[in-house]
Amino acid sequence: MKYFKIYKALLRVNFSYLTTYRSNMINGIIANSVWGFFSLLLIVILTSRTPSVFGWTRNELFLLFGIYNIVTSIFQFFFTRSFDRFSEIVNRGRLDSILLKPADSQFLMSLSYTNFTVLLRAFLGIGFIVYVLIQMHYIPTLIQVLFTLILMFASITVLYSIWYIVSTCLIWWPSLTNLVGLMYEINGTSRYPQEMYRSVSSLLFYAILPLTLIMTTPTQVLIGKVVFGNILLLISFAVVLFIISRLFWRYALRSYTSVG
Amino acid sequence: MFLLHSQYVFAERGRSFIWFLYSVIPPAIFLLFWIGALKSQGGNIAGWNLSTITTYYFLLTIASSMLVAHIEEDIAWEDIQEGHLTGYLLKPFSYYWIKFLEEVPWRLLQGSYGIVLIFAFIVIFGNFFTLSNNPLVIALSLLICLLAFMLSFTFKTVLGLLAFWLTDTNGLFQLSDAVVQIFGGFIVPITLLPSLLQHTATFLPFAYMAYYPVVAIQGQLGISELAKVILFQVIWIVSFALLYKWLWIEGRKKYTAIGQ
Repeated sequence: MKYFKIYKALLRVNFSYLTTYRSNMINGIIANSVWGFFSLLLIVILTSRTPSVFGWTRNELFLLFGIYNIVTSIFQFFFTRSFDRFSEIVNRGRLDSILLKPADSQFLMSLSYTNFTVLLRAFLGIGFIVYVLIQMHYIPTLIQVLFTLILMFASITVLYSIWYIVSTCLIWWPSLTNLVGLMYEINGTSRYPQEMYRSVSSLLFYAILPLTLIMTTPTQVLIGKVVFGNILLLISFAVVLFIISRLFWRYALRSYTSVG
Repeated sequence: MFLLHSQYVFAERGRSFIWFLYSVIPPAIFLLFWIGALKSQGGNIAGWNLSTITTYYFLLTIASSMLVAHIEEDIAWEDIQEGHLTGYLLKPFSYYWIKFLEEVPWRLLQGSYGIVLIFAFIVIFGNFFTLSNNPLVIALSLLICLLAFMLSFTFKTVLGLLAFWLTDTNGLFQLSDAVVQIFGGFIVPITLLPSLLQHTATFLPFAYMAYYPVVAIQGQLGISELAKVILFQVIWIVSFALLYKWLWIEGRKKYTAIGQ
């Protein structure tokens, strides 16, 4: 309850920031609309010469990209602005003030800043999915939709945990200010079918297994191609990686030396 | 001046390597996608086969890291918005050429990472790599690469100077990134784009920054086509240089700086 109240207050502060700096808001809207459309145009371009790849039809790939847009935008809404400031906070010694606050430091490091304008991409993704489902003449059942939503929540947890583990490394290497930015590129690997990585090398496939599951599994459930192994793996990764992110953060804090 | 900046860039080699990874991940993923697409289409799509597409994306990695300038944020955020431009205005050198000498070491270091990667690839998968062996084509291709960097640098400088009029350039930069990705051949080779986008791409400057240098080195262009590419590059460079000149003169009238 305490953290719910803190988050409500943080949301209010972020919203007033958004409405105060209107040119930033307009720029955010432009940027997110552009990347939302770009992400959808990307799959249209990639599939313009081929009707199916790795056992996925063109429409199924469109759904995968739609799910990617929704999951990443919700993830970015809650977390990425805070992650973007991670290196600055550590590098300039501002972590001191966060550690002194009477709240969980991981909570404050993850949820202090919100990106409202990125939600546009989620709406774009929802619209795109509905359009593709109509084109496919396919209506998923309520249970399928519900399970898709649950798995999307697990996917966001996996994404969050991976980002947090990588960002935590900045405690040791604070000068690598572009490390978090690299995660945006790595995120992009998740929007392609799992089979793509499996076909190249099993080493690569297992190295990025959690990322290959986060978009593929909810999409498979939505179109009724349920792979129970994937569902179990995704949920397990969500739980295990989240625990690791918390333990790793506590371990890393022992090495934080501050400045001043 | 060049040596001073080189010293700084080498001190930041860790960050530079991460920037390099930004240019490696997307082409690597697109390559994996096209390997699957080629397999499902009998090994040939619009004249592209496994060997040519592999070479294309590997050379694109070098082109992205060596030929594509990333000076716009530096100019807009550091120089114009934070006021560092004042220091440059007091120097008896052209702002354009100082920024050029600042940018070149970054490109050389990141490009060298790419060259090492390509050599490793040729040693392991030599059969998948096809380059031109005609000395005249190679000489003209190298000239195209040089002009490509000049074009990219001048375009990005122009983009950065728009910060004289805009308080937040983030949306504009994101829009520019998306357009460059599509029309610059960063997603798929231009000849694999849908026909409307393909025709549009040949009239825009973006394909001349990375796509044409790459296909020229691959030996996919005849001498007359190479000459045509050089002509278009020169026209675009001159156009952007004139635009730069005008923006620089008008922009400085808008610029204010404070301090004691």
